[in-house]
Amino acid sequence: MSQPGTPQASLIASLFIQAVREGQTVWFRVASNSMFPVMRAGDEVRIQPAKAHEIRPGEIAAFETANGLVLHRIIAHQQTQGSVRLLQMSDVELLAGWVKEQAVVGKVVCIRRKNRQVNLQHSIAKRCGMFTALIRYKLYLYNKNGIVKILLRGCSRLVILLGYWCLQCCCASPVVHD
Amino acid sequence: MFQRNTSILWRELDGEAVLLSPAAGSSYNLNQVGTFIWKLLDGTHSSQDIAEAICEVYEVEYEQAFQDVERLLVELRNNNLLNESPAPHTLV
Repeated sequence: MSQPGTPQASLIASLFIQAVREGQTVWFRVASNSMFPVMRAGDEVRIQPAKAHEIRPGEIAAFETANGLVLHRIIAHQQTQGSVRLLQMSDVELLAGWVKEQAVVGKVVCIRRKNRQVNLQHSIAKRCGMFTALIRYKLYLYNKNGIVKILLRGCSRLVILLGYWCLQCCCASPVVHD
Repeated sequence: MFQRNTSILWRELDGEAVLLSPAAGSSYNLNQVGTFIWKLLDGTHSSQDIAEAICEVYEVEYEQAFQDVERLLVELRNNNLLNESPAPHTLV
């Protein structure tokens, strides 16, 4: 297993990106906890090829950055002069950033941990993602510091945890190997 | 005759190949000799051809080279990294 940040890890990530861009659905191992608890370091995620306009707020997009492949939740999308850009945010940090259409590689459709897998295409998973995206977007728009921001942040964390609980209860099943 | 599985993506890093099986989500590393062998797996070379090619480049006996080729081929096949191309038709 190559260590994140090494030339070999970058090379493997670029091969994964190439595979998805060529239309293959791949299993990719998560390297960070930025989407905790939905995705944890060491989990395997199934990335399906998708264009920016096919990814809805709430879904977890895979996109290319200078640091490799990043998997973050899309909290909003915006049509700009013939192209689409997506606003991404992790489930842990409050920093958001715009993703250009060309950087989008695909979206996460399944998460596998030990012997369980969560289907993110399930309607309940999609609704949980949408609620999470909605509150994260409100948090992004709210600039002032103070009690409201603290409350919003608390609500956001609560929604993420409730969403995670729903995923585990309604969208998880034993792993079926292809 | 052996051929690389066409669904396998690969690149070289410092003379050593890194292979990725997208379907399995697995990556594999080959050393320099393994990479040399991998590049010759284009469906036109037999194990013997590859062993001979190794002997021309590296200081190694043919038997040793042939064994190494066979060992690597088994490993590649076990990991679905190889397509076995059909033997060419021969006229009788």
